[in-house]
Amino acid sequence: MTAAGAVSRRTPRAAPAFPRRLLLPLATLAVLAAAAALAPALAPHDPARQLDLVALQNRPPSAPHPLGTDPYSRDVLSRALHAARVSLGVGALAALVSALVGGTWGVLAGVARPAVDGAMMRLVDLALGIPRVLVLLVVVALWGAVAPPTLALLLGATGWLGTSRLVRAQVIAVRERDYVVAARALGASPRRVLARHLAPHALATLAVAGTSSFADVVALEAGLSYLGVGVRPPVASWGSMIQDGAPFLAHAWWTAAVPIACVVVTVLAASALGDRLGELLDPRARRR
Amino acid sequence: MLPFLLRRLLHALAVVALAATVTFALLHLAPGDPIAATLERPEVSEAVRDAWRRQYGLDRPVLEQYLRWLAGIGRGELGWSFTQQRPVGAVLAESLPRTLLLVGTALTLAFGAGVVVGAVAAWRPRAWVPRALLAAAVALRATPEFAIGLALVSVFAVRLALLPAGGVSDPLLETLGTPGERLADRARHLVLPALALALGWTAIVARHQRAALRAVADDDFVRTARAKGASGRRVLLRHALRPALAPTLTLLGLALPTLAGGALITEAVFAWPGMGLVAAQAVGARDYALVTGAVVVGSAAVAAGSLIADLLVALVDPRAGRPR
Repeated sequence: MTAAGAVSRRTPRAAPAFPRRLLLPLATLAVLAAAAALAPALAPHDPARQLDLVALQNRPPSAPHPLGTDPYSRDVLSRALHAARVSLGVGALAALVSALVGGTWGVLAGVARPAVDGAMMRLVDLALGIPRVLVLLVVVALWGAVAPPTLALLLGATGWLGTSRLVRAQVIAVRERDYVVAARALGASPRRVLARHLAPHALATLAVAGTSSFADVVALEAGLSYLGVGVRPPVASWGSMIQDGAPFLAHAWWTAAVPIACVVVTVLAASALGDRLGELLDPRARRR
Repeated sequence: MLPFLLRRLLHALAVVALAATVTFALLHLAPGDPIAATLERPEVSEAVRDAWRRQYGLDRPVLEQYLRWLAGIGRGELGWSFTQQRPVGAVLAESLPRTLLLVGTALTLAFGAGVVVGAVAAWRPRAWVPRALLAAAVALRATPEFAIGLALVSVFAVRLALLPAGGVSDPLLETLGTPGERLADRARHLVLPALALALGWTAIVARHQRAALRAVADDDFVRTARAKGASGRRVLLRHALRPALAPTLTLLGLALPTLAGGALITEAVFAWPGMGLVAAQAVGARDYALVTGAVVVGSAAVAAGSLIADLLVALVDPRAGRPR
């Protein structure tokens, strides 16, 4: 009786339904990604074309220009759609780079000898104390303007520290579990244990860390481009659109408000997704 | 307590050393050297360039240059800013206090408001005011500080014309005003930039404070306090609040590098002539010495801030300083 009850209670858990809490953030990100991918088809105007510098400068939203025009008479909706490709692309590439570097560093530290592990993590602790914005400023000062792909690599290369800590903690938590010990006892090589038994667990952690580093990078890219050291003209990102619109806040607030809203929605969706994924994967949260 | 302090101090020094090492490595990885800029000037002969390289020690082995660089930083020599025509140390000595004033004010505001909101939200989970505030906090946390700043400027400086949109002081009052007027003027200039930073940071503090209070709410000493008949307010203020402050302070200390980065970008919105604005302008002019100096000094300031956060944690929770 009790055994049957236990089994029947366990059955629904074996095939979990898609967690509904992830639906809204995932759908939001999917819409944003689709808008970016289809930007050339969706945009009513050429994003870089100055339509009419005299008559169409800083016009409020209207039927032909649903989100208004910017200080150079360009269509804000078209620009926001095309900028989404740059902002989201930089964010995704940077998140991928930091997941790769941070994941590798974290897994290696997790399986390394204590002395090596200690040294690797001490270095991460120290590097976390240096403000990332300042390091990025030095790189831009030394190498000059950077193209968006390079910017993404830089953001990824400076953003993997937190990821490596999470992954290492996960690997260490899993390393001594019974099934890993059993695999080792059955004669699995260290490489096989790493690839078959440890790395898959790190992947879930990587997904959580990757989503939140995506949110960080989208916000940071906007800040750097606003400062004028990130994405530069003629390429537009949400950050550089904010930079274009900021001097005209008094009479054309929409030119800055539209890209700001895009950044906020993206960051909200990505960080909600990261938080909720983390709660789902955290065994303490699952018990409730 | 003392070994704990010593360990944290060593950590702070190591952070600065790492920042100095990273900037040195970047300087050497970058194409060309400081003298290469003169390649565009035909009147400078190759012999003169070699003499300059010898004079500045650029012909020495990399290791020697590196040690000299570290020793120079140890002595407080950060180089010469060619855009401002004065030592980097002097430029930063002028801008760092402005950044510290801004960040310090914002952190104080955020911590005070965040602890109150978090405490009320944890203690009265059904009250609608803290719930609404926490919902707003989620949106504020997702908005970059500089964007909050732009919104504040457009409402309070442009539309309502209540507060100045930027700068640290009014130049007219600065020369003609009485000391009282000058202080009031500086405070008015501080309001919007400090608020821009504090709004988002308050959200972070409130979230952590609520979580920390919930974590101690079921602890034995809190239940004991309730069981002996202490009022809800007394339990919160005398028993639960203090141990719940430590994790919030720790998290704030860890978040400091990121928060400082946001503050540096926000300075540009308000034309606040702190480290961020100076460094961004130096990037535009490719004033290497000033930018690298900003990294070293900025990291040192953040490391000092984290050290203060650790001290506060030890003050609030004496267990933190005990040897493990």
